[in-house]
Amino acid sequence: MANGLGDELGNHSLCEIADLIAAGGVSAVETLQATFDRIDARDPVHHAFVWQDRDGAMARAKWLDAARASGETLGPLHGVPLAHKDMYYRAGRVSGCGSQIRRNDVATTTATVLERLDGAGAIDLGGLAMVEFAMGPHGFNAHLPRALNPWGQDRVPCGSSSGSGVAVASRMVYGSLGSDTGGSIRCPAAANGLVGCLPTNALVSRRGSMAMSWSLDCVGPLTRTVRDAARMLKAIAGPDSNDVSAVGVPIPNYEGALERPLGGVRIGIPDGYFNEELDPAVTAALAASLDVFRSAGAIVVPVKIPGSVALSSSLHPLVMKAEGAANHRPWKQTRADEYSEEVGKRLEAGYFILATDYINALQYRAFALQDILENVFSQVDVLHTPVLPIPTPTLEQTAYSNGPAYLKMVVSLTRNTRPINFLGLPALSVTCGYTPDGMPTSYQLVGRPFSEQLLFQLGHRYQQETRWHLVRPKDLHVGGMAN
Amino acid sequence: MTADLIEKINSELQHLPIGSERWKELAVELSQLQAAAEASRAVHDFDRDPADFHLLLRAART
Repeated sequence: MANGLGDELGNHSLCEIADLIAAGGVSAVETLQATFDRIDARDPVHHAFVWQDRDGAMARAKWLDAARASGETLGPLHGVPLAHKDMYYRAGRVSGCGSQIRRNDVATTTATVLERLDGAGAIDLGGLAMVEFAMGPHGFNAHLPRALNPWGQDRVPCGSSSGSGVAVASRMVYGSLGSDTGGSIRCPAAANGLVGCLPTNALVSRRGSMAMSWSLDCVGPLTRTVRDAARMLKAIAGPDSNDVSAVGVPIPNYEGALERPLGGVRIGIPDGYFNEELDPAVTAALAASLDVFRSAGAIVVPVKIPGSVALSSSLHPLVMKAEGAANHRPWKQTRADEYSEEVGKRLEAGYFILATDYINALQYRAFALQDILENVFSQVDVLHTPVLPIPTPTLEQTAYSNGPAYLKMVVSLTRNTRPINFLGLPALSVTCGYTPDGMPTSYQLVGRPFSEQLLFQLGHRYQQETRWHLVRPKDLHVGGMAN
Repeated sequence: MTADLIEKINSELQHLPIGSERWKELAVELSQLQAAAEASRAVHDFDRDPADFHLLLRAART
């Protein structure tokens, strides 16, 4: 049962447990055993894990404790149990990518992000549920037990990093890597009351990560606090000699800048696109969050959103489907029956998109980025927008069908996130309250390219002034009974 | 894009096992994507803009 030490240690954030281990307050082995206890109590209900490597994780925890006893600390994540979306390859291991097709494929290389987390001292405990091949926003995977949102088991966890959202929110692990092509980190972070970080396009290496859409995919963390996200991003970001698409920019000490004052920081409230089609409860929570920033010294001003953002949102699926279709063509031709109906259909349009349309869409990204830099980020430092425009939908509302209500729902979930991927900008989603049904809702802060440090600074200050990130999910399963 | 055209492209080029009930749905979806591409051409002169998205992103580093 996840009580006693297991539950107590589970209430620590990633940074708190890392610092406690570093100070000798608890060992990596004790922390890992407590993690196992919480997983044993909660995962049979929440279904976040696809697989676990407990023997490997325990062997590493013992090795890390021995290293620490001899005066060696690997890094800022020394001894912290993590688990990741099941699409990061490790040599000799299967990562099924939520699919039937990849369920037996053994990787021959290890993802750069996993190597970097290893180097920082983290323990890689297992693979987490995800939407099949990361293609879908509500979190359902027909091949896996349904991952259940700890804030409401009748609600979707969102996706495609569904298991990451559920495992961190239900306090089974302290942080998780997700991937975000159109909102797949930020949407599950929002639905599960977490922090989700979309780094600037190509800030983080994607070598050894499943490709969904090569020009849009990004790797980033889901955590409970902004400080945790800053620590994880620092560990994984930066150039990679094996991935030329990873940008060679210096990675700042994000944590070191978290306490900087906000005086004079200009936050833009969108006039256009992002303030449309919003549920009133989401609008109210976002408005209240702006008061916190005003009180902290930030300047909040309206800013007109150029039409290129709406067009970016419409062009995003064109790029994503064309690139995804190219990746999957051999399987779609020969193993089509191994896709679920929902995901198999989602790819099909990509095989009939004209090359001229795809190329123009890629070219338009440069224009749209220039447009938002000149017309938005010349006036403000960050943009403050909703993540999900509506309260977290029920399982029933997102049940697959060909009907217009289902299609409208699926499209609406990512309407505020996908244009940000198209523009390549960084974004940080942070919980800012609850809708009347008790489900968490979030804002996202969108910044200029490579402005993650400022986003963390703002998000951290917000969490210092509010308590949303400390609230335990109401449907958290604890040893046979709800929390 | 029409359902007939998509079916012909598939039978000649892509050879995907797609059910016949999908042709009309795909025609609707592809028309929407094509409309987005047309809209981009209406507001931007690609012939005069050689901008590269990833180079611009790096150049815009704060």
